[in-house]
Amino acid sequence: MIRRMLRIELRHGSAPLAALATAVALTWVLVANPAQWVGQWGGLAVYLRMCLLVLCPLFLAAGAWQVGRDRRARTVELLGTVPRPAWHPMLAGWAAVTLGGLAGLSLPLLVAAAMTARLATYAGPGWWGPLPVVPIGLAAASALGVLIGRRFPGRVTAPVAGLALYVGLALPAYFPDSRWAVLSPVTDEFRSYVLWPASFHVWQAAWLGLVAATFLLLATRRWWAAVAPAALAGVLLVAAPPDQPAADPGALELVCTERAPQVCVTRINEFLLADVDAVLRPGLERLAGIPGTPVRAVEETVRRTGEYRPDIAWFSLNDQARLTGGVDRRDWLETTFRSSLGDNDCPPPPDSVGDPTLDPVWRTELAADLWMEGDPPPELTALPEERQREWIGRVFAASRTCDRAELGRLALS
Amino acid sequence: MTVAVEELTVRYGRRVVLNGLDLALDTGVHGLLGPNGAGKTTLMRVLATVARPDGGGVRLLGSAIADEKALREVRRQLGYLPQTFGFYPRFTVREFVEYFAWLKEMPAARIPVAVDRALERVGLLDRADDRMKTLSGGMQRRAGIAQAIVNDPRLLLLDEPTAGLDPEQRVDFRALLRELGVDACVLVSTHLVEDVAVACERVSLVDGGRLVFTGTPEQLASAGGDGDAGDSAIERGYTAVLRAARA
Repeated sequence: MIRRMLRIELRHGSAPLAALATAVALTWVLVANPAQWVGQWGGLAVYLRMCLLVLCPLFLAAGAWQVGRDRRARTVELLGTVPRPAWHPMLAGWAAVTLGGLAGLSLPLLVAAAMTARLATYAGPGWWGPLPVVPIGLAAASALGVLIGRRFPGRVTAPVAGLALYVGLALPAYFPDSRWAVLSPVTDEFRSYVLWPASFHVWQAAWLGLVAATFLLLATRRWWAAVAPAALAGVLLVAAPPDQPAADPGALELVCTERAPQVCVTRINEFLLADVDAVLRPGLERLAGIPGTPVRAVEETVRRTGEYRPDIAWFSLNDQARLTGGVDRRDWLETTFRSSLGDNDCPPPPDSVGDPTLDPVWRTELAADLWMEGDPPPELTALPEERQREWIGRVFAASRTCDRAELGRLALS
Repeated sequence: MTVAVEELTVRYGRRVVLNGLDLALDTGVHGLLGPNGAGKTTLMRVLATVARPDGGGVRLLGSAIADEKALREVRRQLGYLPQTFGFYPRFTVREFVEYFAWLKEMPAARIPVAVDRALERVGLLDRADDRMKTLSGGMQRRAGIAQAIVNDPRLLLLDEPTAGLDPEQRVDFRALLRELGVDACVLVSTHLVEDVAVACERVSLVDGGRLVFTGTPEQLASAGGDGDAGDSAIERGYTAVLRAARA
């Protein structure tokens, strides 16, 4: 019979509303930020955990709204005359909105999974690790909603409590080293190429499960029964995290174009390689043969802190994947590539005074930039081809050594 | 005795709503009459186990309701239609009645048949799959009666059950009341004295939180005279009893 009641709640209770709300919300966050997940299984799993920042408050609001239904429908008096304990329908309602909300997530998630399957070039071991925490975290959020809705019945409870949870979940971003940041279902500490050990996910899932049980027991006013899960959750809260994450070498393995000059991306971004190559190859070919200039362009994800190599130009693929695949912002990709050519963590230049166009260093760098773009200034094109290339080589060499005096001397008339 | 109330007192703050009320009801249809504020709804709420008495004794279905177990047992055999009847607008009529059958802890195997029977008795079987919000006020009230009778209660409490029903529906409802009263104790709180005259075997009149009359509708009718206000004999009896009680 409980199944039948659950089915009624799923069809005609608050569950369909929860399903609609979560479907719209997840679709929105997926479409709004495709670069975080498109083409990467690990990215999709990790981004889903980020999406909990929006989804948890929605589930909480759904739980609070569900439990406030009797008051809105004015059935409280009638329900006060039935023999079945109040926590039975309350649990059925909680289960219904939680399942309804999860069902709402399934459609956009399936579409995202299909899109990922079409593009993904790497899955790797345990990419799905962050996923089990998602339903448990959402169930805990709706349980908290039930508890709050019972304690503070009213129409504004659901939106206000949802908003409060949103703020509460966003706060750890400002305190990334806090314990709450580690235990929160929402995290931006995950990366699609970082593997968190299974024990960490189990630890987090157990904590959220215990918290959910505590909320439900408190909502049913079983104070003593709530002590055990609350105490266990407290123990996990103060216990040290089981293991530390490690980079997935398979995900970070470089995949390069076959013909020189090479363009290399990490394995997880391999689906972008053709697009990246198309954008960066003209610049690399322009530099070919100039002494001291890069012969390869490499995704900077694998760059060690402070690493500098004259033969490599780095580029960033952060926030670069389009919803349909391919590079989203080609100009930004080119900019990161070009800025890395002369980048050697030079000290900042002195504040310019007067007209910057009169600054010879500025004019030199501008002329080099324009040359890279294939639109050199007339004073540079006035030089023979060989002289132009020699000049460019000297400019990049001076940039790498932070030799502003030399850059000034290289200014063209 | 299905309902035995002695010296029942209920207060809302300083206001005494029921003041030492005595009442005894057994199987059959009983009417509960009284002016606004007389304490009818409060008495119904006490009998429905929603409100707790501040004094006196209440025995329902032979139980003094001393503990949770007894309360639960009484509630399994109770049907109640409150004056302000609420419902879940998106539920279908069948789902709504089914939901309350579950809440009344009816055996799962019995529920589908019991729900259909209850809907048939209130004339809503053909609207069973319509959503509650699409029903007229009278139909919603009948759905409320269906949830009250779905568990074949031994004690059925109906507070203003005919509110919103059209004359034809009221006639049908009176017939249903008589049918229900064969096996159960049915207490109908109403302002409509003609409903009491036609459908009830006994009538109780409450005023100022006290029971001022109990007897048959005929006895109530005979209490009035030509000089009393009212369009029918029972209305004249009603006003005569009230006047005498307040004298």
